[in-house]
Amino acid sequence: MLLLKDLRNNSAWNQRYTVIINTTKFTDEVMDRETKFSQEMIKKAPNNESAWNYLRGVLAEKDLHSYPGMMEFCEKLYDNEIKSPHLLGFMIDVYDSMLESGDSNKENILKKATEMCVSLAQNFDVIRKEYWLYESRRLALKYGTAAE
Amino acid sequence: MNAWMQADLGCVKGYILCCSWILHSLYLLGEQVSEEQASRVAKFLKRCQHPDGGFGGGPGQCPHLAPTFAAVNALCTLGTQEAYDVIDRSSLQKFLIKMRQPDGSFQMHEGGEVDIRGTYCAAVAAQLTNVQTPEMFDGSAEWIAGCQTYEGGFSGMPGLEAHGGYSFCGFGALVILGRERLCDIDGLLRWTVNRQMKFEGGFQGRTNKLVDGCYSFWQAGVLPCIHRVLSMQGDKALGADKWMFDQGALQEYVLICCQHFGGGLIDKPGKARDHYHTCYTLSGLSVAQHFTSGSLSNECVLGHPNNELRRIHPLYNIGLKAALDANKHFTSLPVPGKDEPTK
Repeated sequence: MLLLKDLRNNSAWNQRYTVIINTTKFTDEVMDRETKFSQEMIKKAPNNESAWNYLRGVLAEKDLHSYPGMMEFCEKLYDNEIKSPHLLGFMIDVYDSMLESGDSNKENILKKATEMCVSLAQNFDVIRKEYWLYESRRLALKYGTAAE
Repeated sequence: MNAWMQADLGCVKGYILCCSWILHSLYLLGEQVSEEQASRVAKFLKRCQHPDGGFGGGPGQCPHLAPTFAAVNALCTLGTQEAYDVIDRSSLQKFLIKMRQPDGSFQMHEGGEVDIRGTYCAAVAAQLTNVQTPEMFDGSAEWIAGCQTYEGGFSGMPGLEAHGGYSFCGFGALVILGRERLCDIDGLLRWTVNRQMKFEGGFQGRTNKLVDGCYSFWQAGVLPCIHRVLSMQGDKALGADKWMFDQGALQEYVLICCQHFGGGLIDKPGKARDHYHTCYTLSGLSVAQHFTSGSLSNECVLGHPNNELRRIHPLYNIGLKAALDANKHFTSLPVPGKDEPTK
């Protein structure tokens, strides 16, 4: 309830997660419900890190890329000129998930992922430049042609 | 939270904590403590040692893991034979074992609260003085790992919110115990780097909270530890000259926003100065000024070259030399309760 009034209250998000873990756990049904809730909160405040962290937490046991509608959700925000570093970081995680699963479009996805890291480093999340450059190198080493 | 070292110590006045913060701050600033002063401090710390082992916050006070950690650090910072000899290693070992709970966690003092600081304080005290036994930390690493939240940082206890001070303690303890693989290091890295504020340049303690100078160490100080762990795991993507945070921006926050006009450092503009913030903002500044990885090193000192502080050992937050000298001294002594001297 507190989250509806104060969606940036990180303690409330954490409490929500703890309650679920200690009661119903994240069944498929609960996961769906919590994913929808997080996505609604993200649409209200796309740069609210708490909601993005929670979404990642809800789906931690899943392959992000195979969760129905996840990439579409992200791309819709992106196409609406939302360039929150949390959105872009989440999209990189979805690309990572695709690459991890051995997607046949590997080169193209890797290119998107590393380019997004660089755009974060240079434009959208400059304070974390060293981290994004590291992520870019990490992805390239893990999935690039040199890794074969 | 920013007075976490003091707030819940009950009757303890925290003299020892101030002692360790002041000594460490003086070290960072390149100030020498005279032999006479060092001796007086060592004698004072000796009076804070409890007959049953461990140190209380002041003379005659009950032993507590926070002042015990602070006392060990302070004595290693002094680095004299007299300082080393203050520590009754045998009773310290008994105290640490007494604080240990069946699930591997540590209570801060007898009948006191259990939280992740306890494990870190115990691990540092045990390792620096070489009193560790295999049983002492049995299950501790697993308990600590249970404190990592979905956000990637660590909380004070399982289920609570990820927080800078606790996160440093959690990862630091895992590294000291050699069990860092038990946690999600990538998740911790992501959470930690996201705690740097893009406007202020300093770090916040939790998601969506305010910046505070002390997190310059608790948050930024984790990154050298992560870097070392990843490097030892053979991570080829690591940088060769910078930590994974904006070292310049953190230095700007500390130098421009955290200096009190009368001397000492603070949480944020408008706050009062205190020794805790002085110690931890300076510690974070030192981390931001110096990159070291194996044989690689790179200095990045903002402003006048005189701004350069001395280097720290990021795991214990004492001077590098102090840590090395203490290690050399205490590993030459046998672990209490064992027959053979350790090599």
